[in-house]
Amino acid sequence: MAPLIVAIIAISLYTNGENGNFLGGDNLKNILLQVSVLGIIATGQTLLIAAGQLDLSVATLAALAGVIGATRIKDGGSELWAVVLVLLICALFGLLWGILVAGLKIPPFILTLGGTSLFASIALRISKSSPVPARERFEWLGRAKVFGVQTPIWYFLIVVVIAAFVMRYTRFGRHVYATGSNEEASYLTGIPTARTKVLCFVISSTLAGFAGLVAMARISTGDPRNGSQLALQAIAAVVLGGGTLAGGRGSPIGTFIGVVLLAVVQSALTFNNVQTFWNDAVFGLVLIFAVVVTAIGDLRRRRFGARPILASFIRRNESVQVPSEK
Amino acid sequence: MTVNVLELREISKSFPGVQALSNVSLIVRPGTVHAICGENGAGKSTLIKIATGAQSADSGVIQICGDRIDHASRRTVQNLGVRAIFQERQIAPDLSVTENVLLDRLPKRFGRVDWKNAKIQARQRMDALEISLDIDTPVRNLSVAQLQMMEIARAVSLEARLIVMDEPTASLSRHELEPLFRVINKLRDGGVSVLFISHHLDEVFAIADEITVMRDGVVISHGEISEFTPASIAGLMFGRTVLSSQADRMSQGDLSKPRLVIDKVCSDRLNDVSLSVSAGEIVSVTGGIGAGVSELARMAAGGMLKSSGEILVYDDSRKSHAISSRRQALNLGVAYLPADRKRKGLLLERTLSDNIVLGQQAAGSNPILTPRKVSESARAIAPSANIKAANVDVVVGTLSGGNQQKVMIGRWMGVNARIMIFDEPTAGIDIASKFEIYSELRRLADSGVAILICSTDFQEVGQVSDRVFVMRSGNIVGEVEGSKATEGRLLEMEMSK
Repeated sequence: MAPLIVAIIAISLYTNGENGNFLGGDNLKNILLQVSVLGIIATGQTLLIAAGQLDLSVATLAALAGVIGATRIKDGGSELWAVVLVLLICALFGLLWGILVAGLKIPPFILTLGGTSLFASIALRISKSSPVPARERFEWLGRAKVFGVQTPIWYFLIVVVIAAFVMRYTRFGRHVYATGSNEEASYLTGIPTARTKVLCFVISSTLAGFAGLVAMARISTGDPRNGSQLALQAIAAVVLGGGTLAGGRGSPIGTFIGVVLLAVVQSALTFNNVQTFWNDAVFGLVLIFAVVVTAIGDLRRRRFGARPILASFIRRNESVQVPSEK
Repeated sequence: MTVNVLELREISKSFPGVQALSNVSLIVRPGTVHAICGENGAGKSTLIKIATGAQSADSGVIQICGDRIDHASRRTVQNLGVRAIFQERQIAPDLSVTENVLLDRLPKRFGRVDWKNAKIQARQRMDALEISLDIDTPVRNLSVAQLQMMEIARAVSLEARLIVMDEPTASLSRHELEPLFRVINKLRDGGVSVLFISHHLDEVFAIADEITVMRDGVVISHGEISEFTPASIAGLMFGRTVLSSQADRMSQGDLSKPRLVIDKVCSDRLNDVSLSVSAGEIVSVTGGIGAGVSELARMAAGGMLKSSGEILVYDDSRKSHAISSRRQALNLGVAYLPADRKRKGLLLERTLSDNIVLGQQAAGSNPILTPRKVSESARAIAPSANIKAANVDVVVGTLSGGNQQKVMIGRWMGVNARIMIFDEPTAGIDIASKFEIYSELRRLADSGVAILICSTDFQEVGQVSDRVFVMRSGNIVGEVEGSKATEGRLLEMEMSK
């Protein structure tokens, strides 16, 4: 994680040198605001990836959530009821994925790839293929400020803090890491691996739904085509933050830093007047660079470093005991 | 003068902080079987990795069939006729035996694979080595022993002059040893040399022509097998005399208090199996690998479905509970220690503390579980399981096999398991640590734990058990008291009928 922080600081200082507004309070808030939706989704994805799972359908589920939310209040319905309904629907989809993955052992990649198209299509059907205006509603969800900071940023930070606490200080969090590290061993020990996986899907989908509502509230529109890149960006952020698709690794704080790095890079590109078509290329390069660095670290550890050092260290303290003669 | 197949001269290799090998020399002559013995950490595996090009030496000379190799890579070494069969097997699991044996040299006809010819060729290779394998089965369905045979056949079909095996017998049952030895003898007769690592001295004496004993990265002794005795080798390996002693039997358990009752259990692998284990007693079930011993262990722990029968656990107030799932079994105090610790027991990349508290983590109900609480429990449990490690934060994958097994045992001591089910309790563990595990088992039994051991190692079963059940193809075919369970007696029971 340290290299990421160094990268964030380096990029910030460089860009600030070119243009003094980069590290100004407004731009920092703006940077966080840009990624708060991505951040909420990525936090949910962190849990899934730590458990050795994956959900590609979160992006279109978020879009669907925005469309349903906007449709509900179009004719003056209750905002709170719309939010509850949307979160409930998303949680149910998460539950469905979880049960299919844990119960029928379906690979989550394929399953949620199917879900991606399904949600996109439903969102288009409900919205009749055009953005649904949410007018002046949902201000508290997307546009209000608390202590001068926009609510989406608060939601993002709160979600990260809660997730970090859950992953570090609760039994469930440990179950998630155990399941992701070695599912069979965890199951045979008696860890409720199926339940753990299902819960991860439910949490992730619910967070995706919430993120979709926040995105909708920010632009006052439920856009069925909004944020199709979010799922891959979220996975990228988790991996940047130390997660591996093999499972057992990753943390909400790491993901937070990964998300911030992506945001700082995007913003720096804008500040340095780099043409926008380079954005995706830079995003790709950052990701590739990060995984290459991680892989080299792992390889070095396996071939030369930590393992033998540790092993020898332990062995030195290991005196072989042999049953003595009676 | 014949050219040596493999000559290693003054090989040294160091990893940061440890000298793994210093000035090790080794010569393998054509058509001989050469064994390398040494306890865990003696440098055997590193030596083999260097000999096969998987790792590079810091200094020293490698000669294969007289050719000096400067930059040994797996490929150059293979091209010179040295083939390695490692424990992590290199196979294409969905392809058939035929395809795996011939792999990159499938016979072609009009640009397409000539299957008829391929099968004939594969069959011939098998027959030449007297290996009986269905050449059409996907490799996924083969047992470990069969895979090994297949790999040997492949090595031979690639014209190997030296086959290197890293603990070939580690995961074989005793019935599978004999075919392996027969194949090794065939190889020797055909002029192929074999270099292998083994923990089992009886196997070394059954098959090897020459032996090299290593300790702490140096060669302690080498020579023809006739110059050694098992005791002298054990002494060289550990630097002192090892005495094989029967673990003490303090108590025989209280037979009036069964803890675990397996009643007429059937499944696709088991047929009407019944037995019971009482508090303070060590009961073993033994047989060959196909006997269903391993399945029984897993099923008794609730980790596998049964088609009929019942598995009952009696709690302290003598109430019986039928086991239906692994998690429910855990809550009734049933521990399960699988044979394949690396894949089914441990979270290898996580720390000792993460692993040792896993039982408590699974059994507990308080939703809050802080890292501090975890390392406190880990530090409390680790000493009582006699684990030797620098601290509880070491990665568990770096521990020796013996210590890993003790971590597994510690995991269950942490939840006060009343019933412990071991599948192959000492698989992959060196001789000295084995005895430690045996005395650990006895200590557990003396503290009132009911222990069920499922093992294919007759010697082990005879050494630790109070009672022994013998199984054959899913049926229990006999029962004998532990003190009478000699290898010969067990073999006789297993073969009879």
